[in-house]
Amino acid sequence: MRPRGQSASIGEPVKASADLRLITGRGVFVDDLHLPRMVHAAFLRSPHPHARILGIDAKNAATSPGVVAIRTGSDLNLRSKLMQVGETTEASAIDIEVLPSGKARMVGDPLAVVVAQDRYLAEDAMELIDVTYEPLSPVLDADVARASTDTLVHENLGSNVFSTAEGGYGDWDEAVASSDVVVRETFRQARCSPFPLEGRALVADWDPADAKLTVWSSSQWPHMFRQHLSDLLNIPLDHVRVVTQDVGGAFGLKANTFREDIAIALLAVELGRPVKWVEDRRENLMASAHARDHSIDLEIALKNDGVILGLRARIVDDMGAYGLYPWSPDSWGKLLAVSLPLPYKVPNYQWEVVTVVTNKAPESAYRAPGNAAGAWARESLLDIAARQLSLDPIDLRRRNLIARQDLPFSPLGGGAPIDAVTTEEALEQAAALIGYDDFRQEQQKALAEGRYLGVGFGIYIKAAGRPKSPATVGLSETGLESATVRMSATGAVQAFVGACSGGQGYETTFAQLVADEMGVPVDAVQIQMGDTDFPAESSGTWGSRSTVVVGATLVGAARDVSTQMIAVAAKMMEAPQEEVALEGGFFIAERAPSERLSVLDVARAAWEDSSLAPSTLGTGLSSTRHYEIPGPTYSNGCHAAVVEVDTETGKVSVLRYVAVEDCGPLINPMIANGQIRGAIAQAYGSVFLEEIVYSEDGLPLTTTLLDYLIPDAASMGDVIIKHLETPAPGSGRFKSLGEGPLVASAPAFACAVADALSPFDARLTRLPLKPDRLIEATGGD
Amino acid sequence: MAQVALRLKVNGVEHEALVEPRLTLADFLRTDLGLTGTHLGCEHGVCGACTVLLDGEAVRSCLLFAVQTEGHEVITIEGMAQGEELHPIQEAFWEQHGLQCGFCTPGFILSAYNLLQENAQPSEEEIQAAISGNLCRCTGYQSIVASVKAAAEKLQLQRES
Ligand code: FES
Ligand code: FES
Repeated sequence: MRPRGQSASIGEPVKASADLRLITGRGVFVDDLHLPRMVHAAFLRSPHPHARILGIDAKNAATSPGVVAIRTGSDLNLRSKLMQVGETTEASAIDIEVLPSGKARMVGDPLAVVVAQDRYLAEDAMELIDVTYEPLSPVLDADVARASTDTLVHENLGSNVFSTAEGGYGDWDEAVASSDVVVRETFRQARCSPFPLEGRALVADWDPADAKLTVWSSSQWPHMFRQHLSDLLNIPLDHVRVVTQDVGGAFGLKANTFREDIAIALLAVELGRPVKWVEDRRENLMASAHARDHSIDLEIALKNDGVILGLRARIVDDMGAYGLYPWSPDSWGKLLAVSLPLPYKVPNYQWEVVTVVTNKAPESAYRAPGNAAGAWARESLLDIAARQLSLDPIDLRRRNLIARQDLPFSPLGGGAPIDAVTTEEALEQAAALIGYDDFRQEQQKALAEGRYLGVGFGIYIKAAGRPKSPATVGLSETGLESATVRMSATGAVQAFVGACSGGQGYETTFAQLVADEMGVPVDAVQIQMGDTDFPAESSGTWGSRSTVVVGATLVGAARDVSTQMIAVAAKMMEAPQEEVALEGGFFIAERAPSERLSVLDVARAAWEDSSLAPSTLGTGLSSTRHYEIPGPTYSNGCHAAVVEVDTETGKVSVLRYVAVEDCGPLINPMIANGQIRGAIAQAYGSVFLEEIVYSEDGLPLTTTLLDYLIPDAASMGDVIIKHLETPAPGSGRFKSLGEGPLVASAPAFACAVADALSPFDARLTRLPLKPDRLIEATGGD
Repeated sequence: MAQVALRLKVNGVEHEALVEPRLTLADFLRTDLGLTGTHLGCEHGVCGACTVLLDGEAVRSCLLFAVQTEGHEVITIEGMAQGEELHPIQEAFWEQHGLQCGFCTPGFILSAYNLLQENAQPSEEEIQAAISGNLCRCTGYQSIVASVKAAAEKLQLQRES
């Protein structure tokens, strides 16, 4: 029997519990930790994009005030396994050293680490280290790198091509032969930065008595990080503890295990005292990781009526100088390729991904990796095709969407069937809310006044919560998740989960799920997360998976505990279990409704009197569940933007913006809408502002926030959000929300600008759409 | 390095300390006083996460040396609430969920304080302009703008009663 809580909280804008500590300055981010005997690390980084390291002389630095230790690759590398990335069949592997000893391969490569009494002193000493370099010519352009073997970034690869992968289904040549038109364009997404406001940070400590390593880390995946520390440093898994408290944003950057992490852990073990390292913004923008450095050559074959017959994608991905452990460096290009046809019915599809090594920072996942850039390219090409065929761009999309009558739809490229998506409704509602029917008139009128208005749409279907399987990305445990729910004798509920929150509000939404399932108020539920010593396992918070997998797991465990409580209550009331219900916070037996027991009565009795507990359980009330749901769930959405482009200044103003989302029944609309708005802002950033720039000789030019621009409060106004809330089939199944809105938003903005500038036949194939590029595209100067 | 005597008031409490002249105000507050609510998002004066009030005016504590505050009064995020009672701006941020990860939030709250001192009823555009010197990567800013608007209303009600 499903218990009914005192107040159903699901669907309510419950105030986020974590907010209270964050608005009062009581959050605990890694840099806020001050442990006894703690020392501080700083990394000496290569100023050269490519250079042989002939010698590192730290003699003068060693006697600098406050210095505790200085270590280079020759000190550390043998104490850790190599961080090998790239085990897929097409790819050769790259072995990453903790600190490179032979060659620097990017500006920012960490060559030495200084540990001192404070960060100021560590940086003082760092300046006294003398490195002798033999500069080599760098490889910076992916096309050049691909074609030439004159300069190799990694000699063992034999070329600068890390891997070439191919895939698809159907027959592209056949599609072309039967088509009326083939449209082709090459799209260039700019290299950008995931840019969490808090950069990478960790404190590592070693307790020699217990032989235990404890690491406080700003992370998206403490359990995976624990596994990596254990594997690489050869410490038994249960002698490693990773703790993740407040995380100042992550967005994919913090689902990597970095060389600096390993170096700091090694130093903590060696020194037997806590070592802190917090990267500064310059290190973050220069040397942590970048993302989305894709070139997408896309062809689409269509009939004159707009029906898509086939798609061909040739993707070149600039992975930078290394991969990031443990991902295969070609993961992001492949994710792009695989996600391209969605949300349309594309009967024939052929793709190729060439992943190229250059002397730049490595490539990380960044919120909706692959998907966002791919959607921008695909939707842009659809608009170009619509113009060429004189079709309404919305009609062209209608004709090809995976629609209600196609469900469940088995993706031709493989994967779980797509179900419970509402692509047509989302499109129609977005078109209605943005005023599409009248827009063309509005646009014509504006044009007559010399104003350039445009409308753009972006559509997505996104899967989240894959089951245990070697996913495309090559991780072996992507589906691992467990949660424990316990009710204490005081009637308070503790739920342990392995996910962690970098602003997603899980402490609140998870508490709502448990509270409603168990019939207690939300504030009686404490969500405990981010500590690998808790009774919960996890693959981490990435790929929009946490609500889907943790939600389902938690609800299952909470339901078990409710069932246990009903069994206890039934014994106490001497009533058959089937006749006992939990209503409004009380257990009531059908026969004698006036004799009610509170949740607290039953909780206390269950802990105090073992004869009351169900025989299989022993004393107490608790359950641990594993994520068992076979296959992901799919979210969908459609965003539409109306923009005005000032062709004199290249300035783009967003006049209206609509987001129609179907992420299933909302758990907390306030938190959900925050995710959507945040994703739209990040899409705005990558469409209009964000670009990591290297000089021709390989020096990063965007190492401060004066050079690397992200959206600010004046970038755009509010957005209209509409939810469709179609449940995923099956009970306890949630849909995701973290990434999808970004996938729809990037094309909505970019296509709107292209539409506005269509009188100029402007080709807008390169992001970001900065004012100078727009002026150039209109033929101005 | 030679240390310099420093005397200042932080959140109403007098402090005396010996500091290096190069120590930033942000590091002094965070490390010497343990007031870790002031965050560092860039350390070069752009992101606004380190915003504190210096004699009632919003300043970037990463760009000031601690010694420059000799004899002055600093308010940090920890000084906004009166005991258990949240400042109306904090209440508004909570009610409107004007944050996600919360790393930028102390800076926004103190910038909002500064704005509302100078302009009790700012328009939406004025709010956007006033907080455009603070960066947030998570929220998309609309909930922050809504929080500042709600805070202005709360403060107005407080004045009226
Ligand atoms: S940390 Fe001071 S402005 Fe960014
Ligand atoms: S809430 Fe995360 S940076 Fe603003």
